[in-house]
Amino acid sequence: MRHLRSQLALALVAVALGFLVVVQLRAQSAGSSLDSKSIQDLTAIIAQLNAGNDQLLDQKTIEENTLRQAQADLERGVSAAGGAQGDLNHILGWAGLDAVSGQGISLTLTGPFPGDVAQDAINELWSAGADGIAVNGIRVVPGIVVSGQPGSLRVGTVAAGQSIVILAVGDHDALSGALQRPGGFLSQLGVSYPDITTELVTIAKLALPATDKSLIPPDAQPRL
Amino acid sequence: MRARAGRKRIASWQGTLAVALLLLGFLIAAQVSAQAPAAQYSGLERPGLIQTIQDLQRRHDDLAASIVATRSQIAAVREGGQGRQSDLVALNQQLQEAQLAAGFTTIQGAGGYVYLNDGAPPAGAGGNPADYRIDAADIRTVVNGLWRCGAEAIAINKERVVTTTAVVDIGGSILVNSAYVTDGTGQYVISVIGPSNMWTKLSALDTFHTWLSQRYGPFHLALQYVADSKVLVLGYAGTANLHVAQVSPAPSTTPQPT
Repeated sequence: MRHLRSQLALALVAVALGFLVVVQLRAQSAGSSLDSKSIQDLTAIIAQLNAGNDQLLDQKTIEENTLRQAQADLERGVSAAGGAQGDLNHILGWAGLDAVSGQGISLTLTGPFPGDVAQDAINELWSAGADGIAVNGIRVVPGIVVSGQPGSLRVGTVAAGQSIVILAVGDHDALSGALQRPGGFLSQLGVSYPDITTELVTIAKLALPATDKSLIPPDAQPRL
Repeated sequence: MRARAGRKRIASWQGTLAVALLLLGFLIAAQVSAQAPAAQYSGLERPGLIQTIQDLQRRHDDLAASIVATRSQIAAVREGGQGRQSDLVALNQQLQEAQLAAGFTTIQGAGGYVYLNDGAPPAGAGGNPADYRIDAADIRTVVNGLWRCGAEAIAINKERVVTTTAVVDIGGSILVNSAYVTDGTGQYVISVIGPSNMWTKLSALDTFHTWLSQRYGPFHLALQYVADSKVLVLGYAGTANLHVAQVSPAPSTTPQPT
């Protein structure tokens, strides 16, 4: 009788144990889903998605207008060269294949910091809506990365020592505001790398060179 | 002798029960501590907010698909017209090359897939659970490393990495090109086209070693690279607006591959 009771107790504990293990495993795997986020986090994601969708909607309108113009040109037998040339110039400037100019900011970082720090600043500036960025006179395009250890930085393959000058064309209030916001790039930099000197200047008109790097994939093939 | 055997059996099941109860207590404690933040965040508005995010992401996907389709239509119309307007042939060729260089075109080639997964905090581990999740800096480290090792094209969960791409943390989630790429599984797939020794070179980079020792190891993140001879990297379907910049066209046209 006593032996039976002990077995029953052990069985009950084993069932409870198994149940809790499964619950715990499920909770762990669902930890990164939306369900685990705070109301504040969800609201922030919605704001960002809304802003992104507004930009996409603007882009869709631009593309549709371009299509209508191209169709009208075709029907009237008018050369569509003007529209195509405009699109070409726009894409080349946006992608970094042509020089661009306009208002913007200059951010100088000097001191012992690794290349990742400059990459964080560049990421922050793209996120804030920069039209184009150059580092130490080299246009930032896919494949150009600021790398290296403190004191021996490189921009792409070019040695940069311990000083980096980032020029960004874009709304200078938005760009400088993004860098200076509480908890943003400059405040984090001040905590992590107190020995770095920084200089942020807004500029009414600055020019960025075109990249000298080919951006056409050498081996990959286009697919429709 | 029999009495001693009986005592031994009783001690044995009591020992097992004690261990099982200890485990039970530990799991209950872990469960209660995991429930606490969820309870704190629960509210009537939560399902509505999650639904809104899912709707906005679907809207994002629809808009992106529509932009890609319209761009294809524009190219088709212009190609149709160039038979009658021979001056357009060269211009359209330049435009297609520029779109390829800018990342608007879907491409396929040899490369691989990098799989990054959230880590699982060991039971009872202290610290911040968010540290065990892949964040934007983790992804940027891998992407920048791949560029340095000769990558030709990269996409993060199908979002093409182009000149203006930002990878940011928003509310504990990751956005790429303003698209929400955190799908709830905790997995991120970086599709990359590039040379066959790309992963070997990446593994030798100092920044990658630092990442392995500071993030991958301590927070149990998962990382895997699978080579593939036919990696598809989708074209960029986002905005390509210049807000304030004026373009100064260069005398020459699109650079040719070297």
